[in-house]
Amino acid sequence: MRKLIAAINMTLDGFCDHTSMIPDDELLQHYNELLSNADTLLYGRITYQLMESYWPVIVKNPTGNQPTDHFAVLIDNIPKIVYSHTLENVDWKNTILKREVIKEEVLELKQQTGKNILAGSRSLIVTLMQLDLIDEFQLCVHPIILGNGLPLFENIKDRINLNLIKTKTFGCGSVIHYYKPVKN
Amino acid sequence: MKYFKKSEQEVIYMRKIIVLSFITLDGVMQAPGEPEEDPSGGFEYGGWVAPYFDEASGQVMEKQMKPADLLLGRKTFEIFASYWPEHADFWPGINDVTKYVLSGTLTTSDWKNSVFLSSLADIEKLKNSTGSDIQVHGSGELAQLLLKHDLVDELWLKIFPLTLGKGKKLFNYGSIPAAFTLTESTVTPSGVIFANYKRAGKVETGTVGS
Repeated sequence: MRKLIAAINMTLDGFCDHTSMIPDDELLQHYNELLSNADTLLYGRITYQLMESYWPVIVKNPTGNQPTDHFAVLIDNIPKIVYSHTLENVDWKNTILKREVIKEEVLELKQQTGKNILAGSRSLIVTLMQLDLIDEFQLCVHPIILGNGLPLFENIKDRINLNLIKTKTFGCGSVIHYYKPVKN
Repeated sequence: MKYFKKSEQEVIYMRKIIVLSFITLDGVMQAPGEPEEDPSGGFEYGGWVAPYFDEASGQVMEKQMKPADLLLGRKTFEIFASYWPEHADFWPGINDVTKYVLSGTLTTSDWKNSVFLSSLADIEKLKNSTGSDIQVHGSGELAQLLLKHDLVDELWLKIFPLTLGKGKKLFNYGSIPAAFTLTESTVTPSGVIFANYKRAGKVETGTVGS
């Protein structure tokens, strides 16, 4: 069975905001590797719309910065699933739209052969967590205290224990914590 | 938690193996708790820790017995399995943690969450898996096997002020030369020394005073 990895950027005080944590080249290279080892990307509507408004443009008009342009191509090509109750249709290539997360459907996806599955949206990660579908967390903690925003771990009812399996430190001061949930 | 640096950037975390033992000044670890615990070899002094137990010991013990997965030898496992399932009030969580048992003969048990290992390679695999640190209690032969193969990350010793002259020992000639660092220690009013050591590389030698 392949892994479902929740990979997301967060501030030191636990908030997620894709616009306040702009990755540098070293982090982009890391994410390029992560995307290369995955073949499905799960998004909620908000992150999807943010990414969809930005990266296809870069594919057409490269910036000249290699890691950025490579990321644009990877995210453009990777098959994406967007969960939304309100979106009418999706225009970004290799994207399908689903109304809601169904546990059995995600389990079936995990049982197919292939590379890793990535989940990169805040509320989607919490939904997947509550359905016990996440195999690994890769939380990239940036050295920023934001003070306010949307907390990653919102509406968590029961305590969840994690085992730290690895850390990866970046020159910009961000640290990725790799955790596995303790299975009961 | 134990870790090693894979590169300047990446650190990998592993489970620690911690050996906990009651020992006498001459290193005997047999049957500390009570006379019937392990009278093998004609051992007459079972229960040698009892006179030294006081409130201070109880407090340190309580701290050390927080729920953690256990790795046990077959004999200690059988002693534990006949006692703890009915006495979990005195060791909260003991029924819920995973009991890993190294045994060439035993493969099943009625005690829930018991897992049987058959080789040193299984223990190495366990150490590289994810989970809590792993505690070894009693299990003299297993502890010696782990010491011999440098698989012990920490030793939590409870040293009692007496000698026995006979009985099973924690250290025999199978230990490898290894240095340890004292990380925590407590001396109780009855003279018991609780000393926690962690592995600290090779043994270094020199001449005192030079």
